[in-house]
Amino acid sequence: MSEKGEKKIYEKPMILPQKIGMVNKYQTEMGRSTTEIDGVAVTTLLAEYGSPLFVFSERAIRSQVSRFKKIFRAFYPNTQFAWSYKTNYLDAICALMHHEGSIAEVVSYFEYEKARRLGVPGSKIIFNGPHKPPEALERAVREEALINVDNFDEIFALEELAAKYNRPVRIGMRLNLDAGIYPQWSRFGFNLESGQALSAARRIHQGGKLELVGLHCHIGTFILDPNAYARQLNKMVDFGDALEDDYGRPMEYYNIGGGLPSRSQLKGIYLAPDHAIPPIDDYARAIGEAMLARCKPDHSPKLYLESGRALIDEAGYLLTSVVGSKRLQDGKKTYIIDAGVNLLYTSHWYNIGVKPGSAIDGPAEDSILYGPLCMNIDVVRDSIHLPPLPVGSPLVLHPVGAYNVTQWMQFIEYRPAIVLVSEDGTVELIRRREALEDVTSCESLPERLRVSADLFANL
Amino acid sequence: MKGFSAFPLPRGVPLEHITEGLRRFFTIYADIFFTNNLAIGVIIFCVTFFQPNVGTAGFAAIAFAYLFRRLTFPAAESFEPFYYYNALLVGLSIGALFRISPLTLLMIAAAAVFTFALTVSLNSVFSRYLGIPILSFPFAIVSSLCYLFAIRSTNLFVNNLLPHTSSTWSLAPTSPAVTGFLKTLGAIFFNDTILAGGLILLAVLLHSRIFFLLAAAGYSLGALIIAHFYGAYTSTFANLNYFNFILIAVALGGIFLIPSPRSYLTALIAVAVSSILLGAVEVFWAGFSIPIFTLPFNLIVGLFLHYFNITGGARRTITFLESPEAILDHHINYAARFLPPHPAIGLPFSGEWTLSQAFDGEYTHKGPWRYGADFLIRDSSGREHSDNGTTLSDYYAFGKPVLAPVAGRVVKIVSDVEDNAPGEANRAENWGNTVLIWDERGFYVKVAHLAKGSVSVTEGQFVAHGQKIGLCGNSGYSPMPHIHVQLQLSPEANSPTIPFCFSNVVRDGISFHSWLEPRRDIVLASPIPSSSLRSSFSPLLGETFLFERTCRGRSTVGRFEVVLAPDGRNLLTDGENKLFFHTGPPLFRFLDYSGDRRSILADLFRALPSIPLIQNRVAWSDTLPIRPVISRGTAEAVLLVQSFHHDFARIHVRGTVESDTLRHTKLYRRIGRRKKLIEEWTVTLDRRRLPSTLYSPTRDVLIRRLEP
Repeated sequence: MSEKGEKKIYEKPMILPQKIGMVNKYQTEMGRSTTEIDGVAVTTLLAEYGSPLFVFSERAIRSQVSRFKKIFRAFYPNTQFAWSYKTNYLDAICALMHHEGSIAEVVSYFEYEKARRLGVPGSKIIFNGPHKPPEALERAVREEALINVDNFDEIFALEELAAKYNRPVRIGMRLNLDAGIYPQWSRFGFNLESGQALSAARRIHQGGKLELVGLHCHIGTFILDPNAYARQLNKMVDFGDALEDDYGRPMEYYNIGGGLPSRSQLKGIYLAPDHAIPPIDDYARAIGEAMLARCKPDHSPKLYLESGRALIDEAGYLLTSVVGSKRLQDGKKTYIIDAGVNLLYTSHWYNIGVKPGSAIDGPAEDSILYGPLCMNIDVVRDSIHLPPLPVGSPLVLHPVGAYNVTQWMQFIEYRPAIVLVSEDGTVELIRRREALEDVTSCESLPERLRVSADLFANL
Repeated sequence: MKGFSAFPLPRGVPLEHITEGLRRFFTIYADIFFTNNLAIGVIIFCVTFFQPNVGTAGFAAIAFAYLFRRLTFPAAESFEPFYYYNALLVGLSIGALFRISPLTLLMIAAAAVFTFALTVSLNSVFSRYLGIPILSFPFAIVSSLCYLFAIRSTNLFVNNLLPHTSSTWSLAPTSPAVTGFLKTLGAIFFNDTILAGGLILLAVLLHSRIFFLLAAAGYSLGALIIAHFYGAYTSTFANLNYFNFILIAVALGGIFLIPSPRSYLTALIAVAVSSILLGAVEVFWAGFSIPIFTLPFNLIVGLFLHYFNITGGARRTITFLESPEAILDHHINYAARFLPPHPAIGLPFSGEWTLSQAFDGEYTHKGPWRYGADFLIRDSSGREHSDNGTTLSDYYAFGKPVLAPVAGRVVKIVSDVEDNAPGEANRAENWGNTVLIWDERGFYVKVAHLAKGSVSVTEGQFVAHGQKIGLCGNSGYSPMPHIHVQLQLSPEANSPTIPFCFSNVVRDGISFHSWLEPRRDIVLASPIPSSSLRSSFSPLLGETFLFERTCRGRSTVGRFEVVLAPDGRNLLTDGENKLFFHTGPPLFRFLDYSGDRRSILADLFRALPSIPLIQNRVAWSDTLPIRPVISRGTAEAVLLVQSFHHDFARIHVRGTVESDTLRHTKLYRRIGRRKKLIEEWTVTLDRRRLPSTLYSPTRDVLIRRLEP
């Protein structure tokens, strides 16, 4: 509805088929906008911090973590969450997780050092992953981190460290097993069914330098069958009981990894996340009851959960703006926005939700959202119903809290600022927008290659 | 006159053997004054020898009783003072009348054996059927019999009568009250001289002020009452039988009942009542011209204690210690540490739940059903449900496991009541689906509002504490899913409820409580036991520990062994000092300490009176008795006041978890309203048993565990 006198932008006439969105009475993606995050207007955020902008909601993080903790502990009290650093290792996010009672789970020396720098004691860091460089392993041993060994070479390295420090080193063992789901993650840890894990345990025991005190297993990601965890736990506890029978040491913990799904729309799944994804209670019940049923009197081993995505994904938003639009030869409407796959690695697997950041009227039309990259693959959504969006319109992409701010690329753009909306509605900058020096400060130019204006004089 | 737990004699080391034997010997003498205090024993021993004839006769009686015991039960290893003080008293009574001679010794021997057998038999009958102590009943009976027997024993009288002793019992000079009091004190040991009485009074004063006050008050009251009846105000203080008033007042006011205004009042009433008995017995016994000994004392104290056994009117002493002050200190602290105000049950769930309605709640916990507790799950913003709460599954509590809060037998289940939609309540079937469990402690526990068809136990089944019994639902008078728990004394559905509390809980995620009364809006969770802490705090019998204590540059080393006391408790001891302990779950506790206030064991007691053997990093609190903590003079003065007002003083301990291996404790002393931090300790644990170091910056004390 333009005011009188304002000139309308000309657009070539088009015939559009009448559509009411996807034929699904539950589908609520259309026709709504997200104009504020925890009471702070999207337009205000963009005006203050620029576009694009990642926004995290402290309220959403805290309530999700405490809700998970409550639900899991209602089924198995000795449950401890370990924050999966790789999902999101922003200092502020990790700190929030630690404030909410999680310890740290890291999978590389970089993450280990980041956690230590943040103030997490070594003994409260679970150290996983296939690549633990010698200096990392040594530091982890010194600081009594909870190391889960991945392969025989790590066992040998740890035995040498135990000999060097002249004390037993307490370790966990990573297993891979068939929990009845596909694909089976078999490249990490020792295979259970083939007997590899048992021979590793024998080797550890016979070496006499390491103490095997826990078992770890991560069956995969975005697991949609809660009972897979129950099958996994049963196998792990069977193995733990067998080891206790053989070597007399009860397992102090079972770590079932992460993989709990968030409410993201996985590509290729038709139903909306609210209906495709079982409620968290079902996971907690399957896991807690399996654990409780296998507990021996007076021994309730710790249950570690390394949930990442399920805790953080829905707390993260990406605010972006329309920078241009055009119609393709086949008549399809396309928009170019200032955030693309450089910031949204997860858009390869998930249909990230997109909503206008301000109320915009007009008939919704099936559109394509292109990112800013000069690359053909930079497609954020290849089909989404959107009202006509003028240049500068804010869009809110959600949920994007998991993995995007760790797997993002600097590729040809500056990475945007990240803010945290605190529970009382104040906005705090937790990562500033990158500047040229951030990229160039790591580089060094040999003197002989110095570029000056003279160089271009004759070009 | 009550037994103190004796320890097996240590073998092998003759010197220790002799010391221990002597200690027990003097305890026989001290036992007459209700204590095991060595100094009192020695002083009484000396007093009996003021008249060598009396002292020797007493000693001989003990010897004869002991010989008889060895003769009839050669395997007896331990020598318990408790069984000999009656024989001692009988010996003293004979020695007070007759000179030591073969015939007298024969009489002493016969009387001692008689008394010993009577002591053992009466003790068995009294403790088993009446629940009262034998006091000095055997002495009163046997000595009366001996004196009656002596009337006709002409040969004994002619040759052996002590010339002065006859006057002991008929002496009636006019003397002031103090003299009378002193002589009466002496007369308890058959030595009615001011010197003997004065010495005993001095010992008593140093030993216990409560004892002294009770003795003085009991004596004055009894003497004055009789004086008023007889109209003889001066001669009343000359009656030596009035030591019965002293013993009655002390026994009831400070020994068998825990010292308190109520016990003091009871003592004075008992003294007043006993004046009738004493006067009457005197008249009767006078016909045979024999003294009444301790008969009124035994009858009145026995009567009152039996009365309290039946009516439960006053708090009886459970553990007998050296003085009324020690008894008071121990029992106040014992109640604060170990006696929940109501029956304690566990939590009926796993995880953290909010207590939404407590006793006398604003919704349904009213009238006869006011003692109930409702639990539900709230999120961080205080809501009970996700989304808009229109369906049951939106509620966090719905469908969560419900656990048995106690071990017991399931006596009744209801499982077919429909779950209400949110906001609706079923007024016809109030409790909805329920499980009723009979707890052997004498009550029923009802868990209500379970989900339809979710009850997973059957009637008649035994359930363990913490076993799953069903799922949280919304059946019965329940507008939103929650768990309701109550205790009742009968199994009927509408039985009135009784108050209760929860044991071993973590409150609001920050503090551990051995018990906690339900209060609205607190968040409760069961603690998670730690097997590694548990094994670190399970000292084994026979294990020895070496601790080195450094205080202002001075080092001492102590070696402590874990031994088993006859009452079944474990203790750490260096032979002299004793530190009793108990290993949970869920707590390791030092129960009690006896010995020197400045020993390493006393420091251990203060630094870590308890430690929760749990994985939760939460604070905890405890209380300590006063005597091992503050200086002797202050402690005794405080206890005297405390006997009139039990809440007058406390030693509070607050413990916090600094890290996996570090605990911090603070001791606060509260006297009246003034609270003061008096000690701080940092305790380091390792994977081995007992703490590795204990350091107090406030007292500059460092205690290290050494390799044995």
